[in-house]
Amino acid sequence: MELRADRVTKRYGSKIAVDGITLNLSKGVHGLLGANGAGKTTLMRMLCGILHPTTGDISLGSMDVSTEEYRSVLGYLPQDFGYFPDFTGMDFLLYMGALKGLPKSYAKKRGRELAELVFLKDEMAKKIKTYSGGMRQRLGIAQAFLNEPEILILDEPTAGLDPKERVRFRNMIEEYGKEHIVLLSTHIVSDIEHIADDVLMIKNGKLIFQGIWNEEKGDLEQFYLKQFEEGAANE
Amino acid sequence: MWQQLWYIKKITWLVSLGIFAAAVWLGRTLDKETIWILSAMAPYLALFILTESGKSRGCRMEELEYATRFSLKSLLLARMGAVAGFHGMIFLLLTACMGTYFHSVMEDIFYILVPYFLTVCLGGWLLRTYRGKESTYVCLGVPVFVSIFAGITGQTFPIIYGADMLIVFFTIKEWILFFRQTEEPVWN
Repeated sequence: MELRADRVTKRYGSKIAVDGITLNLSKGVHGLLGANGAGKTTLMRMLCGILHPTTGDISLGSMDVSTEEYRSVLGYLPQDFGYFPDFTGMDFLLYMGALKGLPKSYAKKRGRELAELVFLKDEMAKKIKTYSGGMRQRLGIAQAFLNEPEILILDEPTAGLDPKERVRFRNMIEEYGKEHIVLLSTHIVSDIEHIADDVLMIKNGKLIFQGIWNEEKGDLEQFYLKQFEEGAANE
Repeated sequence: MWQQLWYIKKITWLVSLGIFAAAVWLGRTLDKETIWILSAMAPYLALFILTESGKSRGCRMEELEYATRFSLKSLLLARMGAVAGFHGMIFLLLTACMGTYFHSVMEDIFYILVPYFLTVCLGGWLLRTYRGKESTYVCLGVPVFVSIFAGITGQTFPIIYGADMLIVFFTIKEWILFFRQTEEPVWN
């Protein structure tokens, strides 16, 4: 199954946040690079069914993005998210599990597994308000994996993670991407340099590059900066 | 969605029962003063509909909840339905538990329901207008305002009780607009 976005545009009055983007994402890790305000988050929200495109369609196989069926196979980590203040880490995962339609016993078992994977096993009984920023981010990553989603969409997932945690996270994503569709957005090239099978670059709402990246092609960061310079020259 | 019952704060049920118990005790002998006291207490019951409805927005959980299997709209409906249903039961039990009535059953309950609906109406409008934690703080002021307003004007110039159908109409309208807003968050 492929995640398809066909000429998707999002317009707010005279402002075009996403401009005619077409994507076909199959199994693997897809890295979405772009500066702040490029349209990454808007595109991701449309791929999650949170925002309706002004024009264009998004679907996964025969499932339209606006259906419950699609959302049941989706895992999403927003760029910025909060929490209910009384919740412990486990309460949060059980709550998200309930919203994803998971039976409580399964959500508990899965929550424990994921807590171990993100190194929060000893913190799950503590209230989230006592967590550091990195711990909250890891909890957010854990909830995205709860329902073993077919599509995993992560918006700037490494924000707040220390270098060791970022390496662990990359390994986790790389492994998961072998059998699932993973789209991860960042403006930090090193986050995806070694794990992305496919790199997408977005600027001013437009897709300016999409292609497979490997080490033989050279340094991704230099290539990324060059795309933006070339784009500026053409303008 | 019945699981949402477990995520409604226990204080919502406890305080609602507390207000019910106080109303039953006061309502043993309803007189002119007691009616307005009960009328002034009703907005505090309505506060819990506002806090439960505004919880996701106030705690910035909306975006996470949007992307799950059950839509945010059905989630909010489940929460509001549970609290409103509980309050409906409270009002029904109150009619049965009151010892006497000052005017008639319907009229006395009406004097208690109008401030309740006014609180829900104003709170709904504020929840639509304010985002983030601000919405929670602003909503806390609504029952206080309506309670004082109902308490003062109820006896001297009961204008709000004359506009009962208008208040119900605007309450329904505000909450339809509130639920429409859950279909797509305001960008930035």
